[in-house]
Amino acid sequence: MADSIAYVVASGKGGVGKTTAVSNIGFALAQRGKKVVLVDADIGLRNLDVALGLENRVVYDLVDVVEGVCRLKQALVKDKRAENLYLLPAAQTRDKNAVNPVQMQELVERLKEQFEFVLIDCPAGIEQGFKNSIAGADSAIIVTTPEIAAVRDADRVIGLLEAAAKSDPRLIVNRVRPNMVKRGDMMHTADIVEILCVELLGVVPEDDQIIVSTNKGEPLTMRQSALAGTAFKNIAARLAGEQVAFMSLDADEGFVSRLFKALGLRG
Amino acid sequence: MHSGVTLRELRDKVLVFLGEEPDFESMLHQLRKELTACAPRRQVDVMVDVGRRILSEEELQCLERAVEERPNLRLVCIVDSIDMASRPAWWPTEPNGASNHLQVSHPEPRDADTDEQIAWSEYTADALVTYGHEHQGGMSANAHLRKCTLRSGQSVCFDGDVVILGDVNHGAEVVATGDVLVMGTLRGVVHAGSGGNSRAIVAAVRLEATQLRIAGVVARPPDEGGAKHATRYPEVARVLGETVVIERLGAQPSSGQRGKAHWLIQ
Repeated sequence: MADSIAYVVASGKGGVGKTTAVSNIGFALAQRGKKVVLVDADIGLRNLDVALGLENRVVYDLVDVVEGVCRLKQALVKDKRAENLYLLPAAQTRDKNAVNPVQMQELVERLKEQFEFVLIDCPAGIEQGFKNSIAGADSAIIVTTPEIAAVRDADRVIGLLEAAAKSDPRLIVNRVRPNMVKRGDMMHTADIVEILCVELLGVVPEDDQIIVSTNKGEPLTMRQSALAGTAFKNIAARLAGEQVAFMSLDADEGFVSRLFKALGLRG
Repeated sequence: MHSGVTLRELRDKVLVFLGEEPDFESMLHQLRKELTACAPRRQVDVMVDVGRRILSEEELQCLERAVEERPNLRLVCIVDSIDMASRPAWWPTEPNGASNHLQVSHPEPRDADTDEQIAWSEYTADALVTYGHEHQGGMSANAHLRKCTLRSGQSVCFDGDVVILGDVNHGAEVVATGDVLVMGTLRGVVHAGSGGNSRAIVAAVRLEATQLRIAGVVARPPDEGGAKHATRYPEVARVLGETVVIERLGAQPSSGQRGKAHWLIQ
């Protein structure tokens, strides 16, 4: 398809929210009417199917497609909750050596013929799984949390992406706690952007509902209320080309806390 | 009558004799005058004979700077005349009767290049301080310029000087046999003078290195503060004796503005 684009969502560090980001952003894009396929490249440790609640419907996987055991169409799992949202799951009984970068690149090219957005969920690390994942990508989305270790790893990954000529990665800062930032206990997004020197795509606040949603297999962007959900929806909007202002992440102030503040009882 | 600073210019070398002026500052003033008058058209090696003067580290550095400030002068070594027996063959043999020092005035230059080379190397063999110049001095031919930020995991290794136009992030590494200049924030690990040149320096717009090595000395930032000690002005790190000293870039040592921080030696 013309204007199809493949993003690899990488981080270096594990557990910062790549799979969560892929499932939520993918769902939000589909809600906007885009044709989206989500590719789980974490062979052997697959999680994207769980995050989407589609694990019961996985029959064939990415490795089967690459090895020619099945056709691509047979492996794609359609998400019935949204129009035009598909999942290409990873294999659980194999490992990351089961595919090579060339095969991944060909696969992504085929997917781009059918879908407007291809989101590749990259595994943690910088080894074979990472190399496979970036092979077919046009651009990259880096996910980090506001912690020094995560930012270091993100920096490393950005360097590797630049070396692989995947320029202009964009950044999502995930699991931000505004109160901690205010106290100076947590890195400020501006500092992270200064260190990493990449364009900011979005800032997602810490949200307990994420854990609930991943366990249930219902992306948060399915619902209206949640703060993190809104952040992911905004990110999807930006990817779709819209200009969306960054949310203010100041903690919600109820009446009582505003009263306390007015009386000088709270900082 | 004390003899002043004298220069003897050979084909591509300049010999500087500091004379007997006891006051260091006056001597330095004379030296600067002589060096300015000298003004060679091409780069020449400079050897400084301090006579029987005992110099402190600070004075030594002033001396170095006085020579290196002038264009086309490259300081090669500093010798002293305490041991008269190591006088080279072409040295004029009439010592000044008033003192035991050699006073060189209008010596005849030797014609043969080889003689001079041999004599030169013998004379400088026992040098007090020798300056390793693996390359043309300064930032000329042998400098590696990197025009981007160095990210974590990336490293630059170069035989010569290195200039980074950008930051050096945590987890990045710069190793150079010469100096390292970072036109940005230095947060990673840097090793200047990696071949053993302890006169190498590390300079950065913001010096916040994880670890800093010059020649064989390894140092880390002071424990207290960390980010609180972050300064907003360019700094240069150099080895002074056994420690690494950080100074504000551009500070004059003789003005008393000494290093702001002594880093901890590993």
